[in-house]
Amino acid sequence: MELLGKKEIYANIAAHNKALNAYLQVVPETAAQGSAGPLSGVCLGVKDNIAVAGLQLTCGSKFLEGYTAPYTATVVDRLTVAGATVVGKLNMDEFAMGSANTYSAYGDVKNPWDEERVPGGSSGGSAAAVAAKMCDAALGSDTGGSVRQPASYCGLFGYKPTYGVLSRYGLTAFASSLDQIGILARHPGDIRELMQVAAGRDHHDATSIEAPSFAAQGFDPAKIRIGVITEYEKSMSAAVRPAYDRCIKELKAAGATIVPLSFPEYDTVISVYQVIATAEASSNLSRFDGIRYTKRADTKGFRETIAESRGRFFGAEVKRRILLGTWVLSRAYYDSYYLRAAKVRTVILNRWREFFGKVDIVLSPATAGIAFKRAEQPDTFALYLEDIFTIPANLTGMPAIAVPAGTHDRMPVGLQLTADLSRDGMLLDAAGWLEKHFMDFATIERGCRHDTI
Amino acid sequence: MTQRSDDIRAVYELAALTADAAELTAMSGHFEKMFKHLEDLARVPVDGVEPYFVLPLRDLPLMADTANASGVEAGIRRTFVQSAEEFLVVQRVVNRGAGECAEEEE
Amino acid sequence: MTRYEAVIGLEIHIQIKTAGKAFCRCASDYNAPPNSNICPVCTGAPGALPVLNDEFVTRAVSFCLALGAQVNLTSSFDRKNYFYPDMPKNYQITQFFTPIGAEGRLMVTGADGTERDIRIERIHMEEDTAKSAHMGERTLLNFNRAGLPLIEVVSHPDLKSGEEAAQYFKKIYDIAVKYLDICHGNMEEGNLRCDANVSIRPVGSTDLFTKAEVKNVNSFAFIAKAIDYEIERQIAIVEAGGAVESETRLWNAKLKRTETMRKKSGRNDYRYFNEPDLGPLRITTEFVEKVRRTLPELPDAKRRRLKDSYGLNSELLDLFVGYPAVCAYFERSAECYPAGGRTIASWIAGELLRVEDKEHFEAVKTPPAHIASIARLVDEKRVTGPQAKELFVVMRETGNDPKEIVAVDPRFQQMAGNESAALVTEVLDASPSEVEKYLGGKENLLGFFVGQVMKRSKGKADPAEVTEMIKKELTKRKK
Repeated sequence: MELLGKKEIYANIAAHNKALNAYLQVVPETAAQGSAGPLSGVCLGVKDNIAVAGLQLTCGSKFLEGYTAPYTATVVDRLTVAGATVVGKLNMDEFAMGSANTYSAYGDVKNPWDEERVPGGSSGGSAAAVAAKMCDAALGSDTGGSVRQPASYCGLFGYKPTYGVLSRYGLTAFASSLDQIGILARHPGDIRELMQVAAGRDHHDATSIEAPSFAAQGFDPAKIRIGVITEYEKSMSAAVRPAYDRCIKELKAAGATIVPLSFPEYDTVISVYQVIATAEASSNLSRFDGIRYTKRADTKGFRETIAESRGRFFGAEVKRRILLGTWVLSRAYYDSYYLRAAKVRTVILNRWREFFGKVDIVLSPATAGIAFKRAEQPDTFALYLEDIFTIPANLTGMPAIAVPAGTHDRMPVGLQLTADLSRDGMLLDAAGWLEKHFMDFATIERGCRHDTI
Repeated sequence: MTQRSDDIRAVYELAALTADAAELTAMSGHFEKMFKHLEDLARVPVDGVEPYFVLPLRDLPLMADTANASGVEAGIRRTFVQSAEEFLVVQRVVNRGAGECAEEEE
Repeated sequence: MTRYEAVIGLEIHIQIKTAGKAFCRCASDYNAPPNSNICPVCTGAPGALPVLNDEFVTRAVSFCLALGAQVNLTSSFDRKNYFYPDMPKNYQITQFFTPIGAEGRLMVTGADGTERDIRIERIHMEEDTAKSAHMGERTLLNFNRAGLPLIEVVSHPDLKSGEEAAQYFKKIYDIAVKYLDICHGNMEEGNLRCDANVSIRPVGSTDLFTKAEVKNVNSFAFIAKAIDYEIERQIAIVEAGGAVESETRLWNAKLKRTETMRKKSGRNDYRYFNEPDLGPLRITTEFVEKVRRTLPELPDAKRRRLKDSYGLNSELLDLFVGYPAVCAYFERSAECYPAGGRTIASWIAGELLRVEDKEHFEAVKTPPAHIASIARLVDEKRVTGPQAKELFVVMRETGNDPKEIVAVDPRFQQMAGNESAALVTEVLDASPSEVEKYLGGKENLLGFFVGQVMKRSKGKADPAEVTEMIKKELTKRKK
């Protein structure tokens, strides 16, 4: 792993964090001691919904202002035991709900490529920190694309593992069956090194599974079948289209077989996601009630305290999602909404299993377009449509990675690779190949305004 | 399904959230739109399809029955909003005198 | 005047003995200092996840088998969502959609003496809440108890009276605490909690009417009283033309009545859905059979066997079935003297329990063989009633086998044959008219003669030997 070095990182933080608002808490340089081990010297930023004992855990919310995590997430623990240093906690959309990092109670995060634009969300702080070289790599969380979409907006690799490969113990739950910790980095090789340490079964997490192999196996496109989804063509914007077409052309030229796939259910993924994610979230966020460890709006009785605290300290987007989730689980709605969505999810899973009977990797856009200007943010509803390409990997549990694929209007453009369950190693191999043979990496390196090179 | 204004109040109560009249109106509008959009769930045929959560995707691992101190007991107690001698303090939970009834079991 | 019958169902929560909690490794000892057995999982900290305790599963399966329930090889874990300060996550992990056990049964004896199966609807696993203590305007919460494993048993409304309900509750208690040893059985600490759903209907009707819930009747002494009171209260309301309200009531032991705790505001919507952090529990038939092989003999089977083998009366059966340790002692004793089952049983129930605690019978030092010895000596009339009582005391004091005591202790020495023969002659000589009557046909006077000899010998003669001697002597005197 090519490390920036602690000194440069802290210099960049001092220079850029105020403007970008990526870090919410920075560990003082003297206290940021790593240790010996395979990851010695690696400086990591950690999204503020992942617990690090002794550091804040706000989840981007006023509700957890002042809360100090009493324990450390398994993934962070494994990385620090291997020598890595946690440099700080990163800004995010409140409770991981958002696609632009404009829903944080601690202010928006700016895209290092263009401060008038959003970095994406909900792991906006993670993306900004990596892109502006304020850390070597960052941990984020991905429930519907919250690692891949900001990675795509900021010219980075953003990876969501197969569900269960990274332990969720210590990750504040948003939607339990969709959440995974993800990694944002400038090189897939960096991601691989981190995964070799962090991946695998954790006895604290009953949904965690055996780590698949992350050994570098090399990638020969001539032996690979690449799937492309025909229905996606119409959802791509003019910004992404050229990169997408060029990528297919290059892979074909290198010998890959391109296989068209049909995904008739493609536009229902948003509804399925909305129902399941908000339902699980409405339950997961019930623990924030003003009674134990969150801020408390003191009133007469406990019932009022709970309602008043939640009403006052949750942001509007979080409330919207809790309400929808509560609604679809309520007795009169459960069958038509939650149960039905769970069945459609199975249909989608079966569809993607079919795909991987015919191809090894599915290539798609990561986002419809490039990072938008904050002033031109789509409305609440339109913003949900951002996730149409990233959501399937969360619904199916399959691993996916956003890869930088050039620029448009001097902003990064991202594409996405998805592989079958537990084929994470091959996915990183493919990303590594693209890094070497496809990306105009120099453009990306030069493009980021906060680059100190 | 169409949403009536009673429904949204009931949902607010279930979710333990408060709202003033303005917020309720705004939310109603938002949810009208949401539920309209969610109608496309009905488009996908699901006959004979099992819900995702019953699929045998992995075995449920069990933990051996031992007792180990977590080591973070003090750290957790430090997060209590209000405490007295290691107890967490809350306003009186059941106010029997005023005739208020707790909505749930003890 | 319509007559009414009661319709009663019981929901019983049983706290299961395990080292750790249901979903984390915190010690289950909640008598530790407040908030000392806690971790991120049982306090609902952000990012915490549940992991299922394997002993909890094993004990749940054994309990299902003990109640004759069908064990579901696939069962679900589900979230029951509601807000309350003693709920760390404001949802409880339970088993709503598919419980681990269904369709069990437990026998009770009705008022008319007939035996009847009470159907058990479901048996499922769930977690306990934190403990709250109210002090003035404040409530103090202690999370030591949060996350402890609970098994809930729900019966169909097949019970008909407070007495039957008490029987059922006691049986569940005995199975969990004394037979399977999966619960500590301390009622004051809430190791078992019982809620009763009570309604009434006209005799002969099969409809179900509005029920009231009587909560937390956690004492055998009060459960029958509370339910009977509630039945009478409901009958009085209906006979006065009113309607029973759907509500939750508490038993007030001082005033001996149930009182409103809260009205039921429509059905609560708990928004049950699958617990995504766990997923379904799948167990194999091999596992279930392995657990089945560890089951001890259960109360009903034990009762039947003891009745058939020893012909014991129902009071003795109640004792042995209710106290497996006492029963085990009895059976070891009966092994030494199988024909003497009844005598041994009455010695245990009488003399031994006068001086030993049936709740701690494992601590009894007197070997079962010694009780068998005393029983045998009594049955063979080697010692009289009063002698036997004295022998018991000596046995306890010396720790010696009664067989050996009577051989050497002069107080229990038997009279030699020639001395007895002399007494027989004495008695027959002293009672000529009785002898005549006997020889004339009144053979039941034999007992009189034996009694006289025993009296003169101060109980030291061997009654069997004396009887034979008298018979022979009388035959000789037939002239």
